[in-house]
Amino acid sequence: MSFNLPNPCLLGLLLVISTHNGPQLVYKYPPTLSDNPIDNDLDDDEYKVDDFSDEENEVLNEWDSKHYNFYSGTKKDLLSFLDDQEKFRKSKMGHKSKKSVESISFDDMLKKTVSGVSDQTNNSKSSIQVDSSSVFGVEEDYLVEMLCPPREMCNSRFEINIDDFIYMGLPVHCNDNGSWKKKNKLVSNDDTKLDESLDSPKITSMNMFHLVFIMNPPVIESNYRIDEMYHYVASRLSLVLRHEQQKHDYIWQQVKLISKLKQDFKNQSNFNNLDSFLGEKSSLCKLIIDCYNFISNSEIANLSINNKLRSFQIPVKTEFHSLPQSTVPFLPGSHLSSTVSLVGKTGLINVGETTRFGMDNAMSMMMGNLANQNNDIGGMDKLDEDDTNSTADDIIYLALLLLDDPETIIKDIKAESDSVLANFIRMIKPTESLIRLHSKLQNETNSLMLDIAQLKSFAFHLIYWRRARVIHPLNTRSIYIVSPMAPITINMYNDILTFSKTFPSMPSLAQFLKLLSSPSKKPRQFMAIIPSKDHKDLYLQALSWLLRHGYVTQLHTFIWLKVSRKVKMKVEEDMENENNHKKSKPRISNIHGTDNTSKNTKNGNVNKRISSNPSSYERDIDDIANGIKGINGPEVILEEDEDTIILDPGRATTLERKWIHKIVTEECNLASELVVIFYDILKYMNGKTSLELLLLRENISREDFRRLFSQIEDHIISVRHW
Amino acid sequence: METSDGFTPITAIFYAIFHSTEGTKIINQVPENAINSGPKSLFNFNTIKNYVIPKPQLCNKLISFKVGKYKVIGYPVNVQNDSYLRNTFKFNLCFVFPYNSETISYELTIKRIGKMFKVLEEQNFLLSRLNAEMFIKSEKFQQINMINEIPGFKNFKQISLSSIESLINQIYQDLNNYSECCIPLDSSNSIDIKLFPILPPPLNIKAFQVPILLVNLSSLVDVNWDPTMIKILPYINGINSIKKISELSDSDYLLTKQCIQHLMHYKCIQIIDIFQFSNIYASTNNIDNFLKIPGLGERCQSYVVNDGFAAPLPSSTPQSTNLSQNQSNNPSQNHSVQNSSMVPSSSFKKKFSLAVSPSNTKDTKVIKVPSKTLLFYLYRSLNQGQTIKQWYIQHKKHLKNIDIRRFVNFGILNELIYRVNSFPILSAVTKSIEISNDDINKLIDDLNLKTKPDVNINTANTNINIPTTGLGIKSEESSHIKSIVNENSYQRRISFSYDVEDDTKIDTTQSKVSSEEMNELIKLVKLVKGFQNIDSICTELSKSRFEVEEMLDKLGSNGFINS
Amino acid sequence: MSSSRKKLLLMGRSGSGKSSMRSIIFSNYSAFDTRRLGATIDVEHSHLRFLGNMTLNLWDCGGQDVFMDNYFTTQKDHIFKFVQVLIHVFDVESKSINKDIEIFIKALTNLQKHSPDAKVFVLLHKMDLVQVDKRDELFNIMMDKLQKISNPYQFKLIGFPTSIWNESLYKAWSQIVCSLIPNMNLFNENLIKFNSILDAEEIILFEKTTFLVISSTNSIKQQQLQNSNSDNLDPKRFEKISNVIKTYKQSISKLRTNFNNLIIKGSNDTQFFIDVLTDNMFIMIIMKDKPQDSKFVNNKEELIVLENIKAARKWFEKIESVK
Repeated sequence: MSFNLPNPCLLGLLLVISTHNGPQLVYKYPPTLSDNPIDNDLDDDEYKVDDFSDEENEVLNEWDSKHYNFYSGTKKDLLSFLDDQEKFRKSKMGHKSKKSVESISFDDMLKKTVSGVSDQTNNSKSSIQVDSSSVFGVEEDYLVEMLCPPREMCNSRFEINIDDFIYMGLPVHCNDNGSWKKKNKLVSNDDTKLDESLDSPKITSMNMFHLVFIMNPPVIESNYRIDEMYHYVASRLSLVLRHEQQKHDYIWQQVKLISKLKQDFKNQSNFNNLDSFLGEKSSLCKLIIDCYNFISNSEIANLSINNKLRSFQIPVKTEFHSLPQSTVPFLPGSHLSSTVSLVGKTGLINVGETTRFGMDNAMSMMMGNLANQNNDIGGMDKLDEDDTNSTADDIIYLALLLLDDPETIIKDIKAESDSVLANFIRMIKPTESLIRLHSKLQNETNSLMLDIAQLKSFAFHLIYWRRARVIHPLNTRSIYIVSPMAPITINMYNDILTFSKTFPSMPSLAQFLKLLSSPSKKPRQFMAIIPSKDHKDLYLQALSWLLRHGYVTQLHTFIWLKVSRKVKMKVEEDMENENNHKKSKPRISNIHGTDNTSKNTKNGNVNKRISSNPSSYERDIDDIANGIKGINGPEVILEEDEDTIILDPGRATTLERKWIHKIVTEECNLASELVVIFYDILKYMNGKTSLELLLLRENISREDFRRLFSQIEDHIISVRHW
Repeated sequence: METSDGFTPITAIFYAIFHSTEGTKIINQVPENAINSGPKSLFNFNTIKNYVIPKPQLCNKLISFKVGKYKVIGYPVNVQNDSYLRNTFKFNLCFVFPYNSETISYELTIKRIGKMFKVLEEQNFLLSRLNAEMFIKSEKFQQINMINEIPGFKNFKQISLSSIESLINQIYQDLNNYSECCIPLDSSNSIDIKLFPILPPPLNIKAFQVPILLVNLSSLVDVNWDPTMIKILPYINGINSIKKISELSDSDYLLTKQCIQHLMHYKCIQIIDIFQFSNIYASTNNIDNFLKIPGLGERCQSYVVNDGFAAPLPSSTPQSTNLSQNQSNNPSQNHSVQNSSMVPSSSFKKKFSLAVSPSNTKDTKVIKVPSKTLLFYLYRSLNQGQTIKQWYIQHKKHLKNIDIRRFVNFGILNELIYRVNSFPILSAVTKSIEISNDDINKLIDDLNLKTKPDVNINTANTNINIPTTGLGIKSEESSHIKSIVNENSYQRRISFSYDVEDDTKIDTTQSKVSSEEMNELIKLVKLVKGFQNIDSICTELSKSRFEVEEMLDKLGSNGFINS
Repeated sequence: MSSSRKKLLLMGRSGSGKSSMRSIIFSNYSAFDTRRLGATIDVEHSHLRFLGNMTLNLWDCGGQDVFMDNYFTTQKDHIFKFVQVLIHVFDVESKSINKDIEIFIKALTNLQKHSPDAKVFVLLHKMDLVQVDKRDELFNIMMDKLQKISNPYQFKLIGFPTSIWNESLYKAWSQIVCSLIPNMNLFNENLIKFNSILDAEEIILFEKTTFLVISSTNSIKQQQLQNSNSDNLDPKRFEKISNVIKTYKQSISKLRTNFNNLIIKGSNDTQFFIDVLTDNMFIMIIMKDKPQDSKFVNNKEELIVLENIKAARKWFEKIESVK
């Protein structure tokens, strides 16, 4: 499945309204919605590479690593493929400016296309625009009638498929009192009063407007793509428009303007293309044009709606918490880290799909947004509320990695150069956690005042709008590996050049990666490859570059408590001594009887710990006996588990607590202060929270930490992953 | 929520028509009045009537739309004929599903049925005649009844659609229970539906990847199967790479690849990588599934356990875990597997098996199954820093009864561990890219210097048969290579073949070697420049990793990126 | 959006012939063609530019029960707001008069609520099916009845007996349309002026596309002095002409040429001029030659008349452009 690749499949936008003169089409973009979808696709590609002929464009998809074709189909044998690649690169060199050849990060890819878009709009000026009165084979008038549904179907998601084309949107119908506000919408009283006073006079002839999104997604992902478009763009945009209509009669005024402009167009000479003319004169047309051009290129659309700036996007999937299966394509340069699951819950980022068929992740994401989208107007308003969301609190212990040069970002998000946000952006360092930044701000007497909540909301903003990526603060003591998702085959060729340009004094990208992955008994701390102290900063910068482009990821350590047989025995003896009347019971059953069977009955879901107990014992034997059937029936003996791993010490059983106590007191009799620390971090010994994060969160000195672990080492089992 | 076959069940089916005085209305529906004026109705029909029977311009198209919590899919039909009152007969057989459920599998079928009914109505008023008085001008009745007496129809026993009620009822029942149906309409027509799941298009898989069966295909195979498929089937055993399979079954590579892709498309196989002791594996973030998912541990135990007779090399003992059930298993093929499996340094292989053999106590038939804790411990002890070989040596004592290949496969297939791929890099190549002058010929020239002795001879004979103005040998030489380099694969073969023949003319075997070797090296450079991983390269050159590493050394300073 | 959009509702039970008359008047169907028409689904909107800045926005409302119910319930404000004219069509042959009337009442009720000052026209349609001698009688009876019904709603009905098989349809519709033209009197005045210059037997203005009669000197005269038409001219002549010319236009359109102007010399020294007046109007002038005039003068006169028409053009254009 190609859920990880952006694919808006947006063919066009229609603005239809229903007045007492019946339904009518106010504006459509692009001007020619051809009957033939293929043509349309080709058009899209032409935006990207103007000077390629059509069939070449088809081929082109196969070279565009953000296009599904790149991964699908049956390619020729490798060498001839590589030869073609070579040729293609050469030809591209010829054709295009450096910039677009090095389509490195998605942002760059997107930049590439945005330039394309502007070209396109210019081109269309010269092109004589054919306003065919049929949209994808359906006569316009009749289509428009279908897109003005009866009131019962308004103010909720609308969708109709006609043959292969999907018309989707949120038709907004006014109430009897002429107000456009959703009846059940909650607003502060004074607000409503004010509105009514505003609304009551202007009861217009228009009783419904509907911004329709036309799509043709591949059947297999149809639902998914439509949901995406609806939740992230269609619904939000429509709600903003409703708001403007409610407050300022925006749509109606624009509609009148547009129909007037259409008249004027005939007797004016400056514009020879209606759309550029309308785009110039009508803000509504402008925003529809922009919306189409940006969204259909999977970019962020910054739309000025009645002079208010709103941003919309279908988030790209570039953050993964687990490794996608080999059959699941993803955008090259994607980031792999378990911290993603931390932020993922907030719906800030769009967590990537890892399985070929599974869509649960996608769905849960959708649900998350359903919640958001309720009374939210325009993408970002919601975000500011998100920081109350507990799941994301940990973010303050983490750092931000800007995906672009600060000044560029400040420019792109149209922030005042001396605004708080701008200064904040300038301050961001991948080596410093937000909390550190914050405390710094406090100390710097002159500097901007910024409370933690604001700080967080800024952070969320940057993350959501593809400007930054949340990472563990870079540290030379941490371990970094070449990410299993590293885009070596796809991007390396271009990145080598960029890297060497950015870091002339560093070893080549290839060399650097080699250093990071050079064989050793275990992956090493980053400092191991830094030649000298003076190189530290440079190497850290280079490292952040690698992270930004998805080449490396950090290894984290996750731990469990491991209870040895020895300990178990001891505990058991103690228990026997305590209550002699149970002596009769055979010991073995006593051990196991107490732990798993009881637990399974208590919460039958997963057996919390692996340890062989009577009940499961026979079962195991059978399973395995079956397993080995075919080898002429040898006797099967199951090796006893010496050790028991406690999966969730946070919710330990009495017995488990006894064991833990035993370990702490007798096995490695810890010093009292260490005992305290031990119990502080006990709940984290569940393989979920990484020690690295733990260290950042609980402020425990690395010193104590080391001491503690050196002592309980034998009772710890740890795993290392991202 | 889903039928046995995983299709969304149909919520309701209704048959709506346009009545010339009453307008759009439902004639039949199942379940009985699922759609009514009452509060328990699925939705208010009045709201959507103009979508069920739209204006003629929108008829005869597949139209589906959302209403409330439901999605209605239909194919409104508009038949023109002056036998009808008001000259037209409009109807639509609509299917209702929960909104946002997967309905693609139905949509095509619905379109098909719609078209079929349209034709049948046009031909012999199949539907309208059922309530003729409602749709057909009285004066035309006669003529319509005539239709079936058309010569040729006479001798047929008349079956004709008796009631739509029962028809949609049966469709509803059959599709929801068996996801297929076959209902005769009249002597010559019937509704045959079978729902098929729609899967994502196959992905391009690579020559070095190894398919492992999830289904016992050998039991399904029959003569109608694609010949290539039948040929390659015996060699799909979780050990052979796709390239290898195509070679062993001597079938065209691309065809083989396509077959495999189809198998993957239908979820018959999964893809793993070539098992070698030089491979590196490390744990993923899902490794704790081993502790959490009930039964996984047991499955692992039974899968990886090794009967202690065969050396813990890739052996294919019958596998009855749900992972790769009933993999075909006959000794002869086992054998072919053994030598076909691309374990590089065979010398090491031997050493290794020796190392193990003493531990095999031949006489006892006791198998000690490793404990789950141990297995978990073993998985987590894999890391990016060391190869399986090193890892093995480190953990030898625990690995007595464990088939390492299966141990690894189990880990991979359950995403407990992942393969760390190694990408060879050549500083020469990297440089050339950095100075963005990566003309491959230049690279070749650089590497010529290192293979000079052979090259000179090589050029010698190229001089003979490539007539050229007597330029300096060097340029001559490189031009020859350019000719090789710039061809695509097909022409390359040609250029190669003529090398061979002129070698026969001047039979200096040494030069033959060198020019071949040269080609190999050129290929290698291309592959490195294409940033292919080592498996891919080994497969492409059909050489062992060891050999490839040797070649790399020829090409100057090099190394590996482990990703 | 401009104020000159006129919303016309075309109502009546299913099969009463709404769509047929619509397609004859506005889509150049011949009466025969209408047999092929199917039933109308919901509302068919048609927007027709009429006399320059005026747009007729015709709502042909499908008469099936389910649709009707909606018009009077869920859709009522959508349908009945901002209505200029309600044209209610009765099928004189209808089996269920009561049902028809019931609908009519509902329509009036809603109309009064949402656009009280709309005009209401009633067409008793399919008159051709009634015996010729019974027609007037039937018509009067029905109209009385209907007028009584509509009194409580303060609507003054204007009724016409119509049939697609004769010119009666044109008569009815040109009346309806004229009732919508704001500056009718201006047209008339100019027409009279023009006539006083030309001193023609009669001058008639036709709308270009529909060829409906907009105005004519005689009708004006009749309005001014109430003597029912003195000369024994066929009272249906206008509509007949409309009918004729329209068919004529269609037939020449088959010859890939456009109707521009037409001069006919009648046997009784009468001359007919039909010529484009403005972008939206044709003008027809009937001249009777004074016997003493010689042919020679006559030819001249033709040109003079055409010249005059050209001259008049700008005046009429001015009127049209008046909003």
